[in-house]
Amino acid sequence: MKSVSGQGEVFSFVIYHRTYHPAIPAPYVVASIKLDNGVLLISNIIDCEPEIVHIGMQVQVVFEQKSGIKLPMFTPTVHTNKPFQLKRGNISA
Amino acid sequence: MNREALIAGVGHSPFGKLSDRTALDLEVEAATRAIEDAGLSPQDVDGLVTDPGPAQGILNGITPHYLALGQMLGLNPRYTGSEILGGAGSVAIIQRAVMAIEAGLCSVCLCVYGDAPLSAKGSFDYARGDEAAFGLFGAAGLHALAAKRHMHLWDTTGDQFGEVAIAARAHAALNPNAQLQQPLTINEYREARYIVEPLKKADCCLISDGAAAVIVTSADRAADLLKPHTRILGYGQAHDFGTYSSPDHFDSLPAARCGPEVLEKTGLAPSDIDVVQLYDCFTIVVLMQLEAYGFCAVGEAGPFVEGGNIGPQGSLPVNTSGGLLAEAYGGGMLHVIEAVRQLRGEAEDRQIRGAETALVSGHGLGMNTHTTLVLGV
Repeated sequence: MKSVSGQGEVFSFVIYHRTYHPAIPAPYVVASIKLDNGVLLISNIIDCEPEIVHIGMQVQVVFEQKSGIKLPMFTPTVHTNKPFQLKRGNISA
Repeated sequence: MNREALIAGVGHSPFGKLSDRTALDLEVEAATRAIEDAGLSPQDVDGLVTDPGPAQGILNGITPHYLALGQMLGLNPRYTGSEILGGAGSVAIIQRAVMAIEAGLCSVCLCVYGDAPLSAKGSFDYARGDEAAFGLFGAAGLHALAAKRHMHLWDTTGDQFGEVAIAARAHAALNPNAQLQQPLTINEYREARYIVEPLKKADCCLISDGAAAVIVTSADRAADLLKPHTRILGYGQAHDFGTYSSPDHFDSLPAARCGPEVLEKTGLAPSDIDVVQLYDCFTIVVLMQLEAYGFCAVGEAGPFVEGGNIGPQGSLPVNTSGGLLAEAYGGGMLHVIEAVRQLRGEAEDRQIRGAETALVSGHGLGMNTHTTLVLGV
């Protein structure tokens, strides 16, 4: 196991305008995220208007509780002078 | 003895929402029509290869699809099997029939695609692995990810995707068998809602019940055939087993590996191909294949399709029957059938004059599989 920073950028993204499963109501953003170490993973961009998502946008991980499991999702990176700290846990891959 | 494989007959059932028909029933109809079209009799058939669509699946309990269909057709073949390559499957079973004929394993091989997804609702919206936890459902989502990459890398526009859909509808308007015969305008395309942005409804193929069949036999039987035969000039496959975590998975197709290679082996350049039949589950896949096969340079497919360039009056008509986008979802077998009809001169109002060569592609699963077939008179 190797730790990763939980920071990365949007590699590609789509906006679902149709609900496929009632647990995940549209609209929502599915994105391919490129982590700082180059690893790609599929996730969601949350707490952000879909209209502002773009390829290359800097994002950071947040862990969301879904049906008893924690899923790594992403929000736009908030730039501060403080060192980046995860609010709700850490990701290891 | 000349074992060179050739296409001898084609046939299909109606396509659309056919609630009172089963997939096997439709397949028997398609098979019967293909055998008649070849001028052969059911007793001549000694090979059966099948491509059951995703809703039907390859197994019903422990009964494989080729066995269920073969039993309904009353066959005891010398060679059989089914393939699971998603949308690359129909071209794959033609290739398999060609190999079986040329190896002498059978002499008349029936190739059948069939499915009835509209009576098994939701079958095209399946979840794909762990990504479903994030709402990545259906084939539209992953192709939309590829579409967004193409827009980012090459400045491809939504209107350019729309051009592919408009061309498909313009071709379909000339095909009495097509499900969508109404033309589409750019304004109608722009005003339509997104399914999975950036893909709109017109960017996504139809879902249809129906079956299509092709007879492959050897040159030995050419004299017995009712219609002019179609020659197999070349074929090949390439696959990309990368996942959504693989670099470049959304940026290119395995078609880039087998397409140019097959063309080179046949001694043909892209500009020598008269009939271009590209698997078109989504408009983005047509753009990516135009580049992969060398019909235009990488990154230039968007401008290439502008102004109706792949429509009936364009410099490179693509999918003259309307394809999956506007004719019907025929697994890929209807693409083969249209190529054969064009080469025979049977395409009526949509006939490409003097057509002598055709290219047919198949593309499937999570952008993982690709098959290529080059045909000639």
